Amino acid sequence: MIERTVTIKNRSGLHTRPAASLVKTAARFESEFYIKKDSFEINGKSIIGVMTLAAEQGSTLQLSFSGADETDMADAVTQLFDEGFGEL
Amino acid sequence: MRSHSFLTKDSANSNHFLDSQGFRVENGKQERIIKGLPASGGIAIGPAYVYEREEVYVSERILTVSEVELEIQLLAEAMERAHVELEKIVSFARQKINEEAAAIFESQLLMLSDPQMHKALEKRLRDERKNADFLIHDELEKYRAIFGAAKDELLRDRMADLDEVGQRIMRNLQKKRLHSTVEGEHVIIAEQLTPSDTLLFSRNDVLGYATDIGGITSHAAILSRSLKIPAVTALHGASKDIVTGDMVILDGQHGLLIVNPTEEHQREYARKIERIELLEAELADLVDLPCETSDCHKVELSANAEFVNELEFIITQGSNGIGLYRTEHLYIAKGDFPSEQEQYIEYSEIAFSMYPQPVIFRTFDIGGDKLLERGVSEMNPFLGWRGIRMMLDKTDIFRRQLRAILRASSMKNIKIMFPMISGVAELDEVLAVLADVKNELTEELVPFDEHMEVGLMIEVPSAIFVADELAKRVDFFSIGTNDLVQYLMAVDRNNELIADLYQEFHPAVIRAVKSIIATGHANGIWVGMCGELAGNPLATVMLLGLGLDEFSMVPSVIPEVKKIIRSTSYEDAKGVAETVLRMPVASEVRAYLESYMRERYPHFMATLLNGENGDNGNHKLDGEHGA
Repeated sequence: MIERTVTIKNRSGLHTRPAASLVKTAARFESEFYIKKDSFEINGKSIIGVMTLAAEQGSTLQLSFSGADETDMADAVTQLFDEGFGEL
Repeated sequence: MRSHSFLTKDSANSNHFLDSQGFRVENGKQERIIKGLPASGGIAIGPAYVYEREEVYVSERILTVSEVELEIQLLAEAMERAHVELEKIVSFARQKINEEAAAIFESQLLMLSDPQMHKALEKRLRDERKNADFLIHDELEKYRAIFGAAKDELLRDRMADLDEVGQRIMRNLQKKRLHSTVEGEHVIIAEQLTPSDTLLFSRNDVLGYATDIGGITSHAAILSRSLKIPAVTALHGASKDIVTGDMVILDGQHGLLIVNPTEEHQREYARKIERIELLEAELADLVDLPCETSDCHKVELSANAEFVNELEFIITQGSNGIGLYRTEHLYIAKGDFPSEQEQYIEYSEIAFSMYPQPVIFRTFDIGGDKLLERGVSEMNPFLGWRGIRMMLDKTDIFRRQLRAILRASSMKNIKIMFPMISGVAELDEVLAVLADVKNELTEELVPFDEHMEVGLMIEVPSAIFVADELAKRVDFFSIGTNDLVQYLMAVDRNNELIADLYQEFHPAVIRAVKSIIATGHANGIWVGMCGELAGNPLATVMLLGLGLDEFSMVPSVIPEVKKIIRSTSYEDAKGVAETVLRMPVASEVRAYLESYMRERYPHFMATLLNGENGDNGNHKLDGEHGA
């Protein structure tokens, strides 16, 4: 299992478009992917789950990946957060 | 901030009276003015059509063991039909509006195929042996509890999308069909409209949307704005007392719905519509006329742009070219600095499309509020490593961009400008790099415009005080008011605690602008402006009077600003500028400019001041009669 910590940089947080691109990216991989915010954990492949996180700009999230392609998946997902989902 | 109140209007002289509740009654029908939130601008007058979506009723049933597998199968089929419906809507949205609108429904598609939801439904189906539509309803209620409690309004609005998806699956489970069509021209009145209702009704002659429930950030509201259909929302129960056929006026600028309007109000609003249409027509006629004052003082109006696909719109707005082409999006899209060739392709396409009109490319202005390199964090990014500062540290990236811009300049309609220049030493360093890159291209026998105009943005206050020295080294200045105001006033406009100190009409700002223009002119160079102030119609006459040579703004306001300039004399504008320069506080400047504009351009300013830039719904109807 790989764990990463990311911070949301884009101003609108994980709203419609960023949430969609996160879920779409996650769907390309087989590994399981969970996102934890405070004590709340959701499946990162679930758009509804991602929306319920209500993660705003500045929120810190713990990501965990486990499965055959966990390294590639962790890199791809972390990159999205680093780039602020192209909204910076 | 949702408010709900009934406004009444007193009038001494007609055949109506106020009933016991204060409503005005005329010809047996009682006028009611209901206040909601302005969701999409514009005015609609017409008969109401009360739309009631066919409710999907669900009842809880316990399935037999043998029915469970069949129910799972039926759920999968319903999901599939819902998928097909939504895909059609996505492509309709893409074709009728744009990619952004399509994305709204694409996110609904993602909800529909949410693996977590599928898993939960299937598990509950097997464990609890309940019917699928009931379980979906139940799951939705769970989410409603989470989303409804969110402090974030945007998030609460997203529940509307999830609801629509759930309804779509349940309807398909019950094998019902949906009909979002209305015959004839109507103002649609509904408790709530889903994003797809908003989109699908637009296939008919719908005049406007009035809804009890909704927010201005909801996807339904966003879609009405894209479709240019007037809309008012948060009317709190208004739909219950309206019947199909009632005459209504929907004022999407102020968030009002007037039911059974008096003849006086109907006339007043008919005049408003006429005025808006007239204004739009007049503005359309302006496109090909030169931008000059009544006494033949010419100025340039150009557009701020950042994407190739904006060019067509810019050309139709009658601009004199592009006064600010932002290049940062190339970095953002790629997540890294683009290659010289990638940049060259884009820059030359823009130069070619706009030819013979000029395009001013601003070199990468990265950092500050835009973006930081990965792994770099600064205590104070606005005062940090951004704009030209970063480029001078990363000269290979800077050189690559300069090469691309120069290569695209061979048609001689390109200019370049540098952001965040703070002094002469910095500018000299930049110009040395530029000269070196030019030499390099010359040696390589690559064609470019050797006399390409070079300018700099004046946005760092220190540049104002050495503007005379800077002016000797370049061909033009472009005043970037957004950052200039923030730096001059030491205020971050995004910080709510002090945002009111961000004053574009502050005397210090106006004096700074005057000084920059005067210094530029004294040194024989032209001075433009590419901040928001340049596109604020309230500032147009003042800036004209201060001697500004070029105004660069969002393309959509070009016709309005052009109209103001064409109907003003340069002499009058100078008078306005002189008056304003004597005023000690921003509020006085604003008040003076507002009254000046109201006097000179009454119908025009009524639309402008009450429109997008105006207040959101705090407007009293009475206040407008004189305007």
